[in-house]
Amino acid sequence: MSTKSNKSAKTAFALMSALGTAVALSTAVVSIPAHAAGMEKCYGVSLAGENDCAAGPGTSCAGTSTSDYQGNAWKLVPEGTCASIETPNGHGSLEVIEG
Amino acid sequence: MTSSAQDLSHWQQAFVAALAEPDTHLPGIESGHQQRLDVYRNNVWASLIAALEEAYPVTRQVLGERFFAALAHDHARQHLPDSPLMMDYGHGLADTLQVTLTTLAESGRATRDRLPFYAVDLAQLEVARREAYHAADARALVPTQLSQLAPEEVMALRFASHPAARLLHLEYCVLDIWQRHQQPQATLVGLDINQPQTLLVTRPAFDVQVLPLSVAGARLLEELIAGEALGDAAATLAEHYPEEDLGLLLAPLLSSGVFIALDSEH
Amino acid sequence: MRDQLQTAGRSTSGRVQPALPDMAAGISLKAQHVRELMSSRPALGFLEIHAENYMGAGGSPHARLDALQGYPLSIHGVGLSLASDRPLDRAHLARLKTLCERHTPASVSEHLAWAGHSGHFYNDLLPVPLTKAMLARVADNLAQLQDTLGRQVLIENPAHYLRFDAHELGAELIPETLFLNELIERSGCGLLVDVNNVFVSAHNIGIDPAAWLEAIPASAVGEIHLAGHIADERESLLIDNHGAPVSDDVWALYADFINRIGSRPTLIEWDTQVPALEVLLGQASRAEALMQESRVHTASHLKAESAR
Repeated sequence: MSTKSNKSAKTAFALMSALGTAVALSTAVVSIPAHAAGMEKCYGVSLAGENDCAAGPGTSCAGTSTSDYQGNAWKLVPEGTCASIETPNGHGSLEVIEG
Repeated sequence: MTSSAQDLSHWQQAFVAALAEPDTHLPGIESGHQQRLDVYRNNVWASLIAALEEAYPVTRQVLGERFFAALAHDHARQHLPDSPLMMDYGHGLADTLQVTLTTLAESGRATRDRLPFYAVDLAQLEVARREAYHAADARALVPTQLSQLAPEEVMALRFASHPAARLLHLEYCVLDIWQRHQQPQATLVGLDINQPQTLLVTRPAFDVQVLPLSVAGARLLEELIAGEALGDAAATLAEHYPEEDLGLLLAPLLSSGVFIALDSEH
Repeated sequence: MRDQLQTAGRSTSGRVQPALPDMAAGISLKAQHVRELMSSRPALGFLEIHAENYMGAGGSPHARLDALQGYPLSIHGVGLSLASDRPLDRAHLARLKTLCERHTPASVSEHLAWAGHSGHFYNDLLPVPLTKAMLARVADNLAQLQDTLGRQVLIENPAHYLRFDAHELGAELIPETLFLNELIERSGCGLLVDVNNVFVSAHNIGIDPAAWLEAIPASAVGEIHLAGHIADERESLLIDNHGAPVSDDVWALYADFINRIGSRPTLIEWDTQVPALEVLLGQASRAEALMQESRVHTASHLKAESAR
């Protein structure tokens, strides 16, 4: 019984000191109460993940009567920045292996 | 259903079928205007592709615009939106990409180790960021809230996770890829991609943040978000990762916004 | 009839809801303009949003509306599918209600169109054969929408790209203006007249835009949309792309319209290739100037009428 409470007292002590370290180290969270006044000042105009223009039915993104979208990505090869990566077998650029 | 209502239903069914088939004849449209259905075909596919492009900007840069557009078109054909909320659309793109890359490798058109399978993980990060961006608001925990607690309160402390928080266990270090693409002329030169990464996505206020976690840090977080008391989680950590400093593991979690404020209702 | 519309801002529960002033010129709210709008606070009659972009649980989109609540808000739905073959999607209707309760719009509008079928959403305003069966369906859906929101909703005329074949459809087609008159009669809805859509449709399917505008009940018009369009050469069509300045033809049609019926809240709608804020503000000022002129014009017009 007393060993157990000793042990938990020890754990509590270690934990308190760990928590003290953690609190001291943790940079203050940008804690803006979501509904608080002063929103204008702190409000981050983050656009990532916005998907804002996407919900605009009735407006044609392409604005044409032509509809020739290429599907079948598995017939193509990726050719973006992935081509700049180095792999054990050399540069990452891909070429379609014909045949 | 009245017969005219049934007719209406059948006609709309025929219309959406015609959206997927160019040059098909749709009864009920003047014969000289059949080709004009292309305006709707164009709007539908272009807007869905655009929605996916907007949701996955970095995945798109990594794969290239042409490949991504084809991938997005394939995805849209297989998975139409099930709601008008474009902010939710395309969460399964990572799966479509995985299947596409596998097909490419199996067809022998490209060798597996040169195909960017890491972009599957990247797509998962981008969708988690989008979810976090739109998640419900909640006040994040402020670490100094904890300084006032008595030892027994600290031992029994339980945290509730913030609605925006997401934990991702990924096979590749995609945070590095993502960061490299926040600048112009992004390149992956010199990056060893084959390092697993555990990422914590949070949104303490309005801006989404991503924090890489160590194995021990991720374990601690998982214990805490599963509802373990801090004392118990600390004991588990001490047992499995005796060499780790609990304070150092806890500090980034407390300031990340992954937990909601102690006095929040939950 | 105009009196009826003025009280339309009052909800069925008797709670007074905000309404847009007739002389207001507004713009579409775009995320990229928020910072500038908040710092420069330009004079603007109202801001309009697409309802579906603000149906997430929280975060920046809602905070942005809170921060800009000094401007009257118009909520413009694009995804409810009023002209679908079935009753409204309850989940989506509930989301719209929640949004309206959260941000108290001065105006709520939707389209005479459908966008979904069998649980799938196509992200476009699809064309509607204006038959009797459709009239019954849309009127029912509008009634359900207005009952749920406890307010009048404005319904917008979409852009048309093709003509239906009544014979093949096996049903009589009702002219659009008559269809809209009937909808107003049956549901008490108002109209959102998109003048660019009238112009584009007139070109594409061969109707007279001025006659179209004369055939709708002026008293029911609660808002006007102005937008840009582009020409598609392959099918010699005009396409409503919301990605260009309002054309001179559309400005002229708009000026004639408000000279005749008086000013109405007018939106500059610009959703693709969104320009700098000042470009949108410039277009809104032009609408406002035309509304000022129309006040003089309408007054003298009325004087001349009564002198006769």
